[in-house]
Amino acid sequence: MHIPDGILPLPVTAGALAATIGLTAAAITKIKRMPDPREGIPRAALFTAAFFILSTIHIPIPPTSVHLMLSGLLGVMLGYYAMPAVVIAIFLQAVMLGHGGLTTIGVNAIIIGLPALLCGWFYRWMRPTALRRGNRSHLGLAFAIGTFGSALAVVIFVMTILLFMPVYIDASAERAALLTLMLVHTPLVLVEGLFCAWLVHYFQRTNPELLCGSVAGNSVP
Amino acid sequence: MFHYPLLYPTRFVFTAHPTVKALWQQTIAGLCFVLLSAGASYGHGVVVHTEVQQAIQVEGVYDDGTPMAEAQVLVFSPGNPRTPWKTTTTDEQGKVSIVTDPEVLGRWSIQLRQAGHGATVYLDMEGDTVEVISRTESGWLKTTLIFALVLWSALATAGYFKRGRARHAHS
Repeated sequence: MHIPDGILPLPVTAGALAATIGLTAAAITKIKRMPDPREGIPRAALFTAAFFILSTIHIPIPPTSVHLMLSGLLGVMLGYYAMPAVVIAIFLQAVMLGHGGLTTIGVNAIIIGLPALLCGWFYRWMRPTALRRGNRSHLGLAFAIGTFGSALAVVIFVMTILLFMPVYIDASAERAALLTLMLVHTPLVLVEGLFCAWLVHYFQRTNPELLCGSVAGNSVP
Repeated sequence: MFHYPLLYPTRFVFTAHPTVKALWQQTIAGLCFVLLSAGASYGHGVVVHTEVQQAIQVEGVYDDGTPMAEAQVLVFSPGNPRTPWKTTTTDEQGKVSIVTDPEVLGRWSIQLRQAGHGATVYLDMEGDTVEVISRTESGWLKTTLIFALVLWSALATAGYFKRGRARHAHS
């Protein structure tokens, strides 16, 4: 889910970069309002590294391969820290691995970061209700969050390509390729849901204060 | 086999002692016949112009090794990055052969794209020399650097937690 340089028109990449800067600034403002913003930084660094590594591991699903996106999990685990974490990881991937491009950092950060922020918000909103209903309900919520995060990332990616396709591109061929890409990502979306459910359930049993992007004393506003 | 019945009207019949007028008519008719016959023969033939040019072989492969089969290939000439100079597609192995205009010197760019993924290769053409600039290849140094960085961040994070725990226990 990395859009490289040269695929999108310059105004689109510039607009996306501005939107990413805005979202990151808003997230950092929220983080600064916490009693101790520095407490969440190591966890954010840890998940940034995890996101960086896991998104470089290719899972072969014929006819191509896919990689984990972790939008839902990042949202649940990091809350507002997810946005700066994604921006840093996307930047490192572009510079060090050549995944994506420097001009498309904004677009790629939105593709992963926006679903992460939404998932974090959604989880914080639904968590008390799910916990009241029992473990199974909480597990279902985590699975839904995991699938929703990656599915939304795929949808944003595909819509961005479709909406800003240059006129000289063979549109029918590109649409067919994008449809294949979406079908290929369907199993991945389910895998992400299962992974998110497993990890969130584990933290809920062992260290529930780690969830919801909050650490000791730092409740996410 | 082509037939031209209009070339043989009755009034253009050749005679043993033609008049001057008839001679002119027969001459024109004969000329027309020759010209049209030549045209018909030309339509059957094939004229092949040959020119030796340098082709550039481009191969698109995803970083997991899968070829970019039937990906769209856009060739942009120097000074015109908005409209492709040529568009084509790769074959099943993700390969395509491109011949640029040798008269146009400068930086050509070749973009391969498929479903929002892709890469661009630049060709600097100066006279007979062609320099290929690709930003998509990653070497072992880059990979080593990545793992070193990741290891360092993991160790730093572990150290941070350890220090925090020790401080907590001490207090």
